[in-house]
Formats: sequence, C-alpha cells, structure tokens
Amino acid sequence: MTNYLDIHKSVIISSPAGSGKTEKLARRYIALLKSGVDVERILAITFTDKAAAEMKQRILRILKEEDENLFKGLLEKMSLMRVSTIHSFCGTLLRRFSFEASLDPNYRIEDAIDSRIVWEGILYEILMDAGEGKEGHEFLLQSLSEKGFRGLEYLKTTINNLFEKNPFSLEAELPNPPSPPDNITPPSPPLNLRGGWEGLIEELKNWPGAKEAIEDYEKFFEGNSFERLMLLGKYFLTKNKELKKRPDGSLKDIADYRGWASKMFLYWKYKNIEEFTERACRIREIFKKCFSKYSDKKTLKGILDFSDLEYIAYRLLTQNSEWANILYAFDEKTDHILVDEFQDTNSFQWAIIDRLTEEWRSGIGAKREEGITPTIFLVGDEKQSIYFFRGANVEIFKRAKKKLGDWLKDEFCYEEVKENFRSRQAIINFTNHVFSKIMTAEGNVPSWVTRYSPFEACRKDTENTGSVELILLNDDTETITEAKQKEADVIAKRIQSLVGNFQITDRTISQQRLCKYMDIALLLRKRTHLKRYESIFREYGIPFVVVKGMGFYQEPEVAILRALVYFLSDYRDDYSLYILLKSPFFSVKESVIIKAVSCEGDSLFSKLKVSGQRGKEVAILEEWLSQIPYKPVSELIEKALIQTGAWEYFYEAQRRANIKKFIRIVEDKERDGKSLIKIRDFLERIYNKDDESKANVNTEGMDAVRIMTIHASKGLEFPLVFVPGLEEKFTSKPNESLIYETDGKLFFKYNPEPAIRKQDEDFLIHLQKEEEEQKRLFYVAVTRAEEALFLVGQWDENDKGFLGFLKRAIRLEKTETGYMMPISDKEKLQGLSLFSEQDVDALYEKISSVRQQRLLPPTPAEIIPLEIKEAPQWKAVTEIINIRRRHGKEWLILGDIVHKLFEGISKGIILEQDIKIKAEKLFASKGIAAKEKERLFSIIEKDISLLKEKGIWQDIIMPKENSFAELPFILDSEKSIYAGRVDRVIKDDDTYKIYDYKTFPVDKKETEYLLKEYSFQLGIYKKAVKMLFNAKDVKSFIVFTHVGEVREVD
Amino acid sequence: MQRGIVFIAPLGTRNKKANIFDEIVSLCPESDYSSVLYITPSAFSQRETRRQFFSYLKNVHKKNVYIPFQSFTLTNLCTDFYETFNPPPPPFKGGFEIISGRIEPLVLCEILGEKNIGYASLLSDLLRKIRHYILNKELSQIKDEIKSLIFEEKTMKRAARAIEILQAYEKELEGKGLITLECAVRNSITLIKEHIGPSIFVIDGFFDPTPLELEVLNALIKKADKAYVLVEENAEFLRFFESDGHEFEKRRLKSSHHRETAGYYPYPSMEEEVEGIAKGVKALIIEGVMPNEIIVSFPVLSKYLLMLKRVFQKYGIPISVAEYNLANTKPFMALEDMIASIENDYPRNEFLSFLTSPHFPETPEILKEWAVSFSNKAGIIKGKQSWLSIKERLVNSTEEEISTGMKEAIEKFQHEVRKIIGILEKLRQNENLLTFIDGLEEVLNKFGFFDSLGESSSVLYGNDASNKISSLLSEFRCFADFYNSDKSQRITEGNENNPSSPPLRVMTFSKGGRVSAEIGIEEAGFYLRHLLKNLKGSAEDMNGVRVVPFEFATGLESKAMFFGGMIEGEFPSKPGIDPIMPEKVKEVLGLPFLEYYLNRQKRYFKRLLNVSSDEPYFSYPVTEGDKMFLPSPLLDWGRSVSPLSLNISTEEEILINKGAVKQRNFSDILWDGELPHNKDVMSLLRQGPGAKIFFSVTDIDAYRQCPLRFYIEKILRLEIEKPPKFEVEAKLWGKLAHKTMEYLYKGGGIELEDIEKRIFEGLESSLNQFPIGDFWSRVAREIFKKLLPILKERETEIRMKGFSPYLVEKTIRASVNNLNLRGKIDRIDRGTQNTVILLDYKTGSIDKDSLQLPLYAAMWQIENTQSVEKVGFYSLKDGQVDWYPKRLSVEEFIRDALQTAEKLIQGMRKGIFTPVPFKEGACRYCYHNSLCKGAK
Ligand code: SF4
Repeated sequence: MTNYLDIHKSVIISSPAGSGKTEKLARRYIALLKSGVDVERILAITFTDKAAAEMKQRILRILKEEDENLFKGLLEKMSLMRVSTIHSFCGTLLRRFSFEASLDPNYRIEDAIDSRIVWEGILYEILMDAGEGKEGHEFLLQSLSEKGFRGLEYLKTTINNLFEKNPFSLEAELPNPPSPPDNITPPSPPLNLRGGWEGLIEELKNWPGAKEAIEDYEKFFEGNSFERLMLLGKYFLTKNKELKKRPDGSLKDIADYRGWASKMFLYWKYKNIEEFTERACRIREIFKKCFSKYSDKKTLKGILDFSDLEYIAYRLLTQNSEWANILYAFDEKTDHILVDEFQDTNSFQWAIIDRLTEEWRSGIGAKREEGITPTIFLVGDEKQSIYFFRGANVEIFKRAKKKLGDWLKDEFCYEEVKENFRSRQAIINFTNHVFSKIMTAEGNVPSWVTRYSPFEACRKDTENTGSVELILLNDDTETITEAKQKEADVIAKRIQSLVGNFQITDRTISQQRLCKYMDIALLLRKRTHLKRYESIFREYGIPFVVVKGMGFYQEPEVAILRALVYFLSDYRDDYSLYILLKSPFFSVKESVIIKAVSCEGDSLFSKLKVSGQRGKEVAILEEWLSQIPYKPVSELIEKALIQTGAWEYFYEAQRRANIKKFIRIVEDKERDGKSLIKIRDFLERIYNKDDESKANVNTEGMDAVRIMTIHASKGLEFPLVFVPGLEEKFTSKPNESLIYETDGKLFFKYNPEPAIRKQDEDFLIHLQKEEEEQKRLFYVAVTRAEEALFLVGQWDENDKGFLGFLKRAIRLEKTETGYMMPISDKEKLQGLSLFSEQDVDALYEKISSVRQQRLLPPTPAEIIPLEIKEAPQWKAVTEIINIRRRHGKEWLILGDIVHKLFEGISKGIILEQDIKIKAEKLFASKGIAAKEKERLFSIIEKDISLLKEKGIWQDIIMPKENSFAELPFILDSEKSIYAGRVDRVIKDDDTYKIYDYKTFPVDKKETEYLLKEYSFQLGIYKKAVKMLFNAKDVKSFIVFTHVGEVREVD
Repeated sequence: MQRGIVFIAPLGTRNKKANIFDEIVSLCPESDYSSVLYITPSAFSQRETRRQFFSYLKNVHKKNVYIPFQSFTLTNLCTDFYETFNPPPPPFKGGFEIISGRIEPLVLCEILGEKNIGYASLLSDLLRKIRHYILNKELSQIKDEIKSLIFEEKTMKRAARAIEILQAYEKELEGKGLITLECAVRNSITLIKEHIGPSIFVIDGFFDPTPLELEVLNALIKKADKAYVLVEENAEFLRFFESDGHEFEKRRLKSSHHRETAGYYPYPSMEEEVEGIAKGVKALIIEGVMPNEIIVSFPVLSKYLLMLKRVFQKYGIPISVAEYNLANTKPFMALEDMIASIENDYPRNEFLSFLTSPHFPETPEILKEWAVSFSNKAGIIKGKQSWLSIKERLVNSTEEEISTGMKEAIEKFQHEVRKIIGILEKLRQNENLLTFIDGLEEVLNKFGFFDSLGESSSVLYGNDASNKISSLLSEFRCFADFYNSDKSQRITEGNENNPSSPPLRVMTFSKGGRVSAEIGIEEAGFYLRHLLKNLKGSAEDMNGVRVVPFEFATGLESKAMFFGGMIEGEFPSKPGIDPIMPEKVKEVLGLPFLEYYLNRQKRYFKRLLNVSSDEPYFSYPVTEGDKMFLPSPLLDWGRSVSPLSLNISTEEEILINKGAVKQRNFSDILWDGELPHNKDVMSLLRQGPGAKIFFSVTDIDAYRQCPLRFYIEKILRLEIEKPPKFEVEAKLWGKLAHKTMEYLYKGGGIELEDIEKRIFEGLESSLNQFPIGDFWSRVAREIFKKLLPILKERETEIRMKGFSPYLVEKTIRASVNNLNLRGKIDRIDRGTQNTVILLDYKTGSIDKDSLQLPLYAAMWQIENTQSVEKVGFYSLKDGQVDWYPKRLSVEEFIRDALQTAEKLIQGMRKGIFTPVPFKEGACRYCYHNSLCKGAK
C-alpha cells in the first residue's frame, strides 16, 4: 500500500505542481471511508470554497466509478460531510461554542465593506469624543500632531492599515527597543524609552570644535525636542541621510569630523528609533482602543467580520478558560483531519489545527483506548506558498513536519512526491535546473528559505518533449510604457504564429491537434499593464478573456450605472446626471448640456427642465424618480437599460456580465434591507477600490486566450503558458510600518525614516522573505505549462525581477551578437531556446495572418407578449385606514373590541355581566396598558348605556331568533370576490335587516357624508344577503354606537 | 355508525380536496357551510383551501355566494377554545393570557439579564419543541434526565441551565397571568373534550404533525360527529384509525403518477438559472397554462426572491409570492432607520434614509428635497449637533455668495430639521418602554407612516403591513407592560441569591445595569429590531405564478413545478448547530434532532417530486461569484440535462443582439473634449473663467492639470457630490495654517525672537476665526509647537540670505504679454538689492510644475520695480521650502511659464477641453476616470 493511504499513520505530503495533489487527498479520504470511518468523523480543510466543492466532487467521482455502493452511501450522508475552508470550520466552531466565546449563537457575518463602515464610524466617534473633550485622548493628541497638518490623514491611514492586517496586528507586540552597540564608551545603560546615553552625550557635547562650528550646538542635546535634534542631521547627513564624507563651511573646524559625524549619526539614529518606538506604541494603543470599541459594537449587533472567525476560534482554543472542554467536544466528534494547501496556512490557522490535534499526538487518550488511531494528513508544496502578503507562513510546513515526526515517530510519515504528470520533459528540465539554482536552502538557513527538490517527468503519452522559449527584448525603449507596448506586441505576434500551427496533445482526448487560442494562458505577476495587453490583443484580433480580472468598479459601464444610482438617490447630483445624459441611456450631445447650464435653476436637472430641451428624457427621468418608493433599485436599473435601449451598447460578454453583476450587488444590498441612500454610500466607498473582480464570464468552450494573474492560476494548467514582464522589479521599499513574525511571535514596528529602515534587520528580513515569495511565484507560473512555456521580458542590467533569477540560474549574458548562455547549461537544457524580437517577427511574417472570424449573432427572436386573462381579486369590504387617520389608533382598537363584545352578546356567548372581564382580556391582548383599560372601558360602558337608553341594545344587539351575528359570506361579483362579515342580520318577517356598527365618534354634521361613504360597503352586504337567503326585501342600516343612532342606508 | 371518511392519498394524487368538498356540499343545506370546521396546519393552507373551495363551488356547483365553512388552523382552534372556556384562575379575572411567541425571546433576554437575542431565541425554540414533542414530562423531569444523560460536566450544566431558565420563564409567566401558546394548546385538549359541541370536522394537510398536534387531532376526531380526514399514505396519523377509528371508512385515492427521483438542469449562475426558469414558465403560459397552475420554489426562497421578481417582470410573467420577509421591505427599513437615527446620534446614512423615505410622507418637503445635498455640502457624518448647526456649516462651506433663494431654503431646512430632531429626541427621553411605544406610534402616525402602507383590500389574507405593524406594537406593549411595573421580581436577581444555580454569564452587551424602570433607546431599538425581523408578509392575490417556500409547495397540486437552487448543503440542509443540547441527548429525550431534520427534508423532496402533473423541473447554479456548487444529493446525479433552448426572448436580449449586429461602439460615448463653435458655447465660455478680463492663475493651473476636469468643474460648474469624510478637513487646516502665517508678518517683519510668540498669537486669532473645538485647537497648537524649531530655522535661513518679510496675502493683477492675470501671493520677502522672493504656503503636496509662482513673479515684476530673485513653496507640513527656479534663470523660468500660460489660455478660449492631464497620476484619483478617453 502506498504510504499515504495507510490510515493508521499521520502523513505530510509535499506534493509539487502537477503531481496530482487533489487526487491524493481524495484517495486518502476514500481510504478512510473504506476502512469504515464515518463521514462525520473526518474533517477536511481546503483553501477556498471552490476547492471544497471540487474535493467533494472528486471523491464522489472516484467512488462512482469504483465503488457504487459506497458512492450511494456517501451521497445519502453528503450533508454530514465536513469539507470546508478553515474559515467556515471556525464559523461552525464558534456557533457550537458561542457560550464560551460570548457570542450570539445566531451571529451574522458582515461583509468587508460593511465592517469597514462600522470601523470607520468608530474611528470617527473616538475623534469626536476627543473633540468634545472627553477623557483619555492624550495619545490621540500626540499622534495627531506628529505629522503636521497631515496628522489626521496619516493616522487614519496607519490605523486603517492595521485594521486591514487584523488579526495579525491585534496580536503584534512592540519589539524591545535596541540596546546601543558595544563600541560606545563608556558602555551605556540599555536604551529604554527616555534614559541612558549620558556618556555619549557628554562626549558629543564636549567634542572639540563642535560648539564653535554649530550655533546653539549644546541646545540640541537639551530637553526633549525630538524635532530639534532631527535638525542637527544636516550637519553630518547628506540629503539621502547618509554620512557626509566631507565637512562643509564652518564644520571644518570640528576635530576629527568623521569620528564626530559617525557618533552623531549613532546618537541621531537611536534617538530616532526611540522616538518612533514610542510613536508606534501610541499608534498601537489607539488602534487597540478603536478595536475594542469596534468589537463591542459588533457584539451588540450580533455580527462578526470575516477575520473574526479565525481569530476568535484561535482565542477560544488557546486562551479561553473553557478550552479543555472545547477540545474534548471536538475530539469526541472527530478522528481524522485532512488539510489541503498546507503551505498557505497562517500561524493562527496552524495554532487552531495544532491545538485540536494536541492530544492525538500524545499517543494516549480516549480514542486510542477505543482502538482508534486519530490521524492528521497535510498536503502542500512549500514551493507554491504565495500568500505571504496575506499572512501565510511557509515556515509552518517545516514546523509541522518536525512536530509530527517528534511526537508520532512511526505513526507518522513524510512523503515527497516527485512525479509530474503535467508538463513535458523540456519544461521539467528547465524547472529543475532553474529552481535548484535559486531555491537553495542548504545548511543553516532560516526556515523561510525555500528548498527545491527536482521533479521526474511522468508524462509519456507522446514523443513530443515540449519546449521552453525565452524571448528577450532589447533594452532600447525609453519609457516603461513603450517597453510594455513592445512586449505586448511581441507576445501577440508569437501567439498568432502558434495558433493553428503548433502541435499539442489534448489531454482530455489523448490526441494530437493544432493549438487554439483557448490553449494559451498569459500569466501576469501584477495587473499593472493588463490594459495594454488587452488593447494590443484587440489590435491583433486575438480573442481573449480576463479571468478574475480586477477593477470591476472602474469599468465604464459600471460607472454609468453608478451614476444612475447616485442620480436616483439625489437628483441634485449634477455630475451624475451629466454622465447619465451623455451615456448610452440618453446619448445627449454636449451642446444640449451647455445650453442647459446657462439656464436658471438650482441643479442641472432643474436647469434642463427650464431649458425646455429633451422633454422626453426629462419625462423618463422623472418617471424613474417617481418609482423609487415602489420598485427595488435593481429593478429600476434593469428597466432603465431596456426602456432607453442602452443595452445595445453593452453587448460584449464582459460588459454584459458586469452590468448583471452590478445589478446583483445592488439587489443583494436591497435584500439585506439597505436603503437607496445606503446603497449609494456603499458604492461611494467602494468605487476607488480596484480589487473587486470583474464579473465571471462563462468561458467554457470559448476559444480565447486566458489572461490572469499567477495567483489566480494556482491549481490550473494550460498547454501553452506565457509569462511576461520578466524584468519587472519586485523589491519595493519597505513600508513605514511592519508586522512581522519571529519565532512564532508577532511584532509591530514603525519607522518612517527610510535611512533607518534600510539598516534594520527586521525590515530587511521582511524584504528577503518577499523575495523568496517571488521565487515561489515564479515557480507557480512556470509549472502551469503542459506543452510549452514562453518567458518574455526586456533585457535589464539590473538583477531584479524574474529575469534576475534566470540570469543567476542559467548564467545568461548579453553579448554583441545577442543573448548567450554557457554551452554546458545549454546541453542540460534541451528544449530551451533563446528568441529575440527579430526571431518572433520572422515567425510571425512566415505564417499567413490568422484572421479572427467574427461570429454574427443569431437573429433576434420575437418577443411574445403574454396575454393573461385577468382573474378576479379577493377583496375585503371594510377599511380601517380612515378611522386611524381621523380618530387615531385608540378608536381602531376600541372598535375592534366593541365588535367582538357585541358579537358575543348577540350570540349569547357573553353574558351582560361578563362584559367587563371579557373587555379586559381583549384590551390586554391588544397591548393596552392597565391604567388605560379603565378609561377605555368607561367609554364602552357609556356607549352601552346610551344604546340601552335608545332601545338599540334590546332591539339589535341582544340575542334574537332568526338572526346572525358576524355573518361571514363570500360573494363572487365578476371582477372581485368579496369576503366579508356582516355585523348583524335580523330577519323581520320577510325583510332582512342588515346592521353595520360604526363605533367611532361622529359629529352630527358628518352623518350624511358617512352614510354616503359606506353605501358601497352596505350595498355589497345587501347583495350577499339577498342572494344567500333568496330574500325579497333587504334593508341596511348603520348603527353609530357612540352616539346611539341608527340610520338607514339606501 | 359510520362517522366519517379517511381519504388516504398516495403521492401523486390529483384533486384531493374535491373528495372532501363533495362531502361538505352533500352534508350542508343550500349555501351555508358554516357548520363545518375545516382544520388545516397553517394559515397558508387555510387560505389555499378557502380559495380552492371557492373555485370548486363556482365550477362544479355554479355558486356565486355562500356562507363559508369555519376555517381554523389547529392552533387557532385551540386558542379559541382556551380563551373561551378556560376558567380564570385566581387572582386573574380574565384567565391566563397567551403570550405571543414573538416576544418570548425578549422576555427571556430580560430573565437572562443579557441582550443575547440569539440565545434567547434558541431557548424559546427549545421550549416550543419540548412542549410539542414531550407531552408527559415536566421541565424538572427533563432536567433530571439531561443530568443523567450528559457526562461532560460543562455541557451538562449548560443544558440543565437552559432548562432552569425555561422553568424560571414559565414561572414568571404564571406570576403575570400569562401562558405560552403551547401550554394553552395542551390545556385546550381537555377543554375540547369537555366542551366541543356536535360538529363536522375536516382535517386536512397534516403531513408531519407533532405529538402535541396529534393529540389534539385525536381528541377532535374522537369527539366529532362527523369527521373527514385527508392524509398522506404512510402518515403516522393513520395509526389512530387502526386502533381507535373503526367507525371510519378508509378510502384510498388513486394517484395519477408516482415519481421516485428526478434529473436536473445545471445553469452557470443563479441569474441564468432564474432566466431559464422564466423562459420555461413563459413557454407554458403561451401554451395556455394558467399562471397559478405553475409553482416556482427554492430551498431558500429569500435568496432568490428579489431576483425572481426582477427577472419575471422582464418576461411579463405575473407572480404571487406566498410569503416573504417584511423586515426588508422599504417601509420597515425606513422605520429601522428612524430608530437607528435616534439610537446612534443621527448618523448620516440612517437619518437621510429616514428623512427621504416615501414612507414618512408627512416629513416636510424641504427636508426630503435637500437633505442629501445639504448634508453633503455641510460635511455631516453624524451627530445631533451637526444637524442642528447645518446652517452655519453650509454658510462656512463656501466662499461664494449664496443666493437669496438658497438662503431661504437653508433657513427653512434648518428650521424643519430642528423640529424633526426635537420630535425624535422626545422619544429618546421617554421614561419607560411603554411610553416609548406610545410615543413611537404617535410619531409614526404624525409622519404618515401608517397611511403610507396603504391598506390591504384582501380579507382572504388579511395580513397587510399596516395590520402587521399594529399587532407588533401591541405585542411590544404587552412586553413593556410586563416589565414596566414590578422590576424587583426579575428572576436573574433571584438566581444570584440562589447558590444552587450559578448566575448566568453576563455578556458585554449593555454597559452596566440599567436603572429600574428606565429603558434606554438602545434597548428599545434592540428589541424592536428583533420584533421587526420576524415579520412575514404574503401575497395579496394568488393569480400569478405561485412563488412559495418549499414547505408550502409540498401541500399544493399544480400543473408544473420549477424548483431551483437545488445545491448541495441547502437541500437537504443541516440545521444550525445547537449550542445548548447535544443531538444525541435530543434524540433520547424525544426531541427532533439532526437526523429527524434530514429525513424530514427527504420526505419533503419525495412530495415535491409529485406535486405537479408535469415532470418537475429541478435546477441549480453551478457557480455564483467565486463559489462553486454541487447538485443536491437528493437528485439523480446521473441525470444532468442541459437546459432547453427555448425560443423565448426578452427585450433585453433583443437589444443586445441588435447592438452586436450594429457593433455599437461603446467608446463613442466617451468625449474627446472638443467643443463645437456655436453661440451657446461661446456664451458659456464667456460666463466661465475663460472670459474674465483677468485670468485667475489658479484657474490656469487647474486647466493645465486637466482641461476636461476643468471644463466639468469650472465651465459647466457641475457639483461633484462626495460623501463627507472626517471633520477638520484638509481645507480647514489649510485655512488655519495660512491665516496663522499671515498673522505672523501682518505688520511687516519682526525679530526672530518674537516668532514664537507671534505664531501662537496668530494661531489663537485664527482659531477664533475658524473655531474647531477645544481638542482640535490643542492639536493645532501642538502641531505648531513641533513645527516651531524648523520654522525658526527656515526663517533664520531666509534672513541670512538677506531677505526679510515684506508683504503678506497680496492680491495682484497685471497684464503680462497681453495676458491679463490675477492672483494672490501668500508672502513677499524683500532683499537688500531691490529684489524680492515670493513664497506660497502649502499644507498639502506640492505640484512642482505649477505655473502659479512663475506667473506671480512675472506679474510682480511688471507691477513693481523690484526683481524677483527666487520663488518657493513653503511647506507647512515639514517646514521645508522648495525653491525655484532650479536650473533656469528667473527670466527663463518666467518666460517658459508665460508661454505655457498663453497656450493654455488660448485653449480655454477656443473651448478645447481635451482630456489630457498634465501628469498621468492625476487620473488615478479623478472621479471621471472610468469614463474618460484620456484616463491613464
Ligand atoms: S481621468 Fe484624467 S484625463 Fe480624464 S478628466 Fe480625469 S484627470 Fe482628466
């Protein structure tokens, strides 16, 4: 049996690109099932929701083919399968242990934007509190004044950045401030926030010649003015904050200037660090304060944000006093854990998994006594860890391996897969060669340095060995724009020369065929130049589709719809109206607008109306505005697109999908109960964010080049892969603030002084880690290719970027005649060829240009209008709205109660003496307060005695033979079906008398009017009674109970 | 004697109810069916039955008028009995009142002493289940059982604690003369046995009755004169007739079909799925099927509802939605926004939503019209004070003259907003919940809320929004009344004194305890929101395609059924995890547990398969956004069918096709910025900055940065509405800093030593002029304190170069090379050699290419005898001065700038507003960039 299928062992598999990772995971899962493990007892964690679905699908697919019975059994129990992302697993954990976590068990997850709204509200509140002079805002005061008049903006950005990085930022501690180096004499006390340094200061203060050369020299060492001290820098630092080599002006008089300068620099530097550590401390305090307020607010609303799931689960398991119980409860339900993409795990996630499986590793425990060996199965590939920027920590992979090995000994196995079932020999050779040169973690290197172990090519389906092309462009362009333009051009040419010419093996049908556009993927490191590729591809007639393209909110069609929403929310939004008018909705000419703006009015809309132009459009706009109360905005948008014919402009698949996506976004907000104003606010907040992906276009079967980022390509494979931009540099300057991890602990560092960051170890390590990540990114890109790989870039003397890696690995050089690599490497790298622009041009010329054929859309079908016969509507006969409006809700309730009481009396269910008790009950059920009851009842009492006085009580209300109370009826009268109840019907000889009670107060003057108003209602009653009883004579009356009057209605 | 008939309906039986209707008609004289008591499980089935009976009478018996049978849900019948016959226990005169299930969680929250509504709802749910499923045990017994069932202590304690709370709850209710609905139902059983008169019963639609319901039904059947029962084959209910119901005839109905499984249609997305369903539905209607013979349903209807409405509307298909959530409809959203406005100190979005809502029609028009725009301009984020000072803020927000009309509008707006806030604030000041509710209702009335809801004209459904909200308020009042008077009896306090029951953990919901009877607005809002959340509305008519939750669908018969959203995980769905009681314990206790729910859904599915006479149409979306779904495991995975391509289009599709044929070019609408030469344009340009005799240098600079943006902002003068950000914005800081620096040298040069004093004097005077509150004033002082050493150094430097301050804030106009220019120079320092330097203070970033300074220099030299030696941007951010020219001579510097300016002015005059920004970066934050041809 393959080791990893041994279900008595915990396993870590290092499974590189193309080695069938998902298959292994699925096989392991199946092995567990086959050995009789219950589905509920297996927890599988994947990286994305999609991966979870795919994994289930894979498992079921294998079973369907191999074990029909197990397949059916699993299908039955599918809803018990625990395959999910770590986030949703944590979500379940939190619901289960909502008590322990002090959460509302029905908590809701708020989306990123909504959480951001809450967060910003908090920041605002805190600032306002400070503004109102509330206590405890000294830190804020300090922080705000630190960046001059930009303080607020700056603080907001910093704090918001910390918020984005939560939960890492929440856990991050401040590192201890550095202690001064040893070579300072006399040895100084360790630097703490405001101490020490006397020795050095004394020395500097008394430095020969310094006092004479610098005005007010001594003052620089006095007091606490950091700003003053920083001014001193100009005497020994260059503009770039490097040590000045030579003194100028009067500084020449300083004895041993260089010695002085270097000591000054030391002092300057440490003062700087000291100050910024203090500032960092303040920032962190402010952040924490905001965050705790933010958490309170969320608790009150019963909401969590996405990052809470992981973090609260982590705290629950590690810090909550109930953690042992939680573990116990979890343990009781779970015997096996499988984790996919383990290399992208972050420290919190690992801490959770680690904690959950703690007991399993100990080799003892209840499970083992029952004969169950709990296992943990981790699959990943260190080399594909590309989420460092999101907090993934590649070191965990090694850490886990060690931990499991140490604890479990023989019950653990580590497997490193070498087979590659994806790529051709040439690509594998290339990958092995390059990455074994640049991923060289040997000896005593930190564990975040990536180690490479070579592949074995396992695809033997044809003789074809595949190819790798390195297309290098000359560095003769002036600007980046030009360079990118050229690069896109070359790629386009190369693609055109491949399509229809290049032989590939279709792996789905295992047959040779010529390559199509859909076989090609262009993988970008960043999206910066995406637009350029798009436009060049269009020029060359290359069909393409951008997969998970970003910048949804920046798309013009989205901007237009946004303008529509803005306008609907406020017709005074002139700019939005302007856009709307010019857009395909109305295609109004500029001159119309120009004419309008000079008219009178307080908004463009009113000016347009005054100008008398475009009456039709104005009318349409007014119509839309008038529909806001009744229609969801999403529906209005759709209506607008149809009504104005604007859809004609958005026929392209991507645009169409974007519009649909926009409508859906608005619709979802409406479903969540957001008003138009709030939707607008949401759109305003988000329009600048360029990381929202464009709408998914269904690409299935679409013959188009796929363009995507390398990150998005993870887990995918393509016959032909282009990786452009080899020369693009990636080492950026380190940020002012840094959250980093050392030995499993998180720290926060802050220093706005680049000169100091350049020398700071932590900032530097961070940069190196980033570089390691770039290697892995390159690896991911390269290993997507099945048949051929094309690496494109411009020659650059600089060694940054993917090109730098290549130069190192294959010793690439530029010579007079072109680009060269050593013969020995060339031999090893069979299938690799170097191409120049000219080579590509030649290839392009050779082929007859491939023309893109535009498929004409099918002729539009006719719209078939629906003719639906109008069916009768069910209607009520009475109405209450007027009563509420005229007399208030009290009379509405009273009326209801009086009707009930009278019905009871008439039917003999209520005896006169019980009226009060019954009334009280009814009052209570209407939520009338105890003290009100008396007052209201006295009204009823009075009414009754008045009715008695006038004989109405005896004649009408009291029980009678041949009578009905609250007689229900259904009457079908052509257009409507009336359902009603007649208060009272009394048969008097051959006459049926209908009585309807009106219980509210009536003015004498009103009666006539009321009789008219209610004549329709009573008319229906009459008709019903007449038909029901075949009555010859029916009369109808209104009883005004409050004034004791009975009036006939004709 | 034969006492009735049990109709046993296998799945797939059509026209079931007609069997019963036949019996009813044969038993009742003429048109009076009021002697029949027709009992159904839900209000929905009740309505449905009434509707069907109407059609039956009309079509089979040609009747137009009748007295309907008495129709009840089982619960209604029981409560009716309970309320009528339950003798009042002392000391309560009226007998126990039934407490509404909706306020149960609220009461439980009070008992818990924490605002954990989620937990309270779970408890309320648990109690309901206990009462429905465990008939013969008291809570104390259940507690004991739990204790013996759970070994793990914490879990056991937690579950036991839950029961204790429920006990406390019931006791508390009793003390107040209240009773839960379930207890009332249970008590009604004896009452039914005692009091029920001779009647004809129909029992219909009980698929999965709970033990409690079964008990009631059995009692009814036992006592009935005649009973007609319609049940599903294999129903547990049938057992009664095996043992007790010998006098009943059992009649097995014939089914017309029986389906065991179904295939399905996968769609790429939800929207395409709904489109597919719509096409299918429309095709049927075209064939002549009546809309209401078609059912559309989903496992989670709420997820699809809005989309469904929108898409079906496009196809012209009428729909009737059986049930939906009222909470997310516009009036209720507006109500929530109103409450949130008061609660959270009038935050912008909520308050604006309230003010502009059409559901408060009596809100003064001026507020509705101007609220958005004014509050934007005034930069209001939240805060009563901000709204109350909106007038000042508006006046301060602009330097331009405000027109009289506008002034009046502002004045009026301020007046009305003050009034409205006054009204709302009164609500906050209510001393207890009861008066709050009264106040709330009054306010709602005043603003016309109820009127705006309109009135349902349908009695059949009788659940219009207005009624719903009224009854909600009544319930809320009940609750308030409940907790208004004797607070001292709160059970939590009892618990704290009782060592055997540890106090419940108090969550961090409310800060501190609250004062006896006083309920804060937060609390009222909290409860009200919860109540609103659970309001359900239903369709007014039933003639459209019937859109129903799947539970409802199972009880219907139709021609066709479309069932979408069949994704794994949603059907069958796993019920939410129960943090109170382990599933196993529930199983032993006899409560419904995980498996029960899963099996129930399977049963539902079996019924769904047989609801329609046509083959049902199941579908699911394969993906949605980044998510991918699998089909429900209930479906036959081997029968995935590609959706039919029906020749049915919408106007939308036709337009899109047309566009594609015509190759409509989208970029046509992007404007290239070239204006035509006609008189309107010319007159507009003449009104704009381009035509003034003297060009403002700032305008020229703005035009340089981007002509198109300049056109939009300065020529068309279109207001760009942006949501306000934090207070003390860049603009205000800029003014403050400028004013302070202006003050510094207002009276000419001063001694270096005096700088400090003078700056702070200046600052104080500026702070007086632009009050920003204490805190921000302190920040400003602190900023200057920190800036001071650097400023001093800068000033020293300037003086060392031989210059000293001369003029500040100097307005200047000049004609240079035929260009008439105007502007304002922040500061001019004079040197010894008849030279000057010009300085411009900056608080933000510096535009190195700005024409401002060279043009000032040119103007200065024309108007004055001194020559300009240098110009500089003096940053008040870091105290640095960026000096110009850097490489050129001053003359060249000026000459270049003048040349550029001349070109720019020409462009402006000619009406050239091409979107060519001076720097690419300009586009990044330009609001126009998505729609701009020139965007970089
Ligand atoms: S996007 Fe660029 S070119 Fe277009 S208006 Fe804005 S700044 Fe000007």
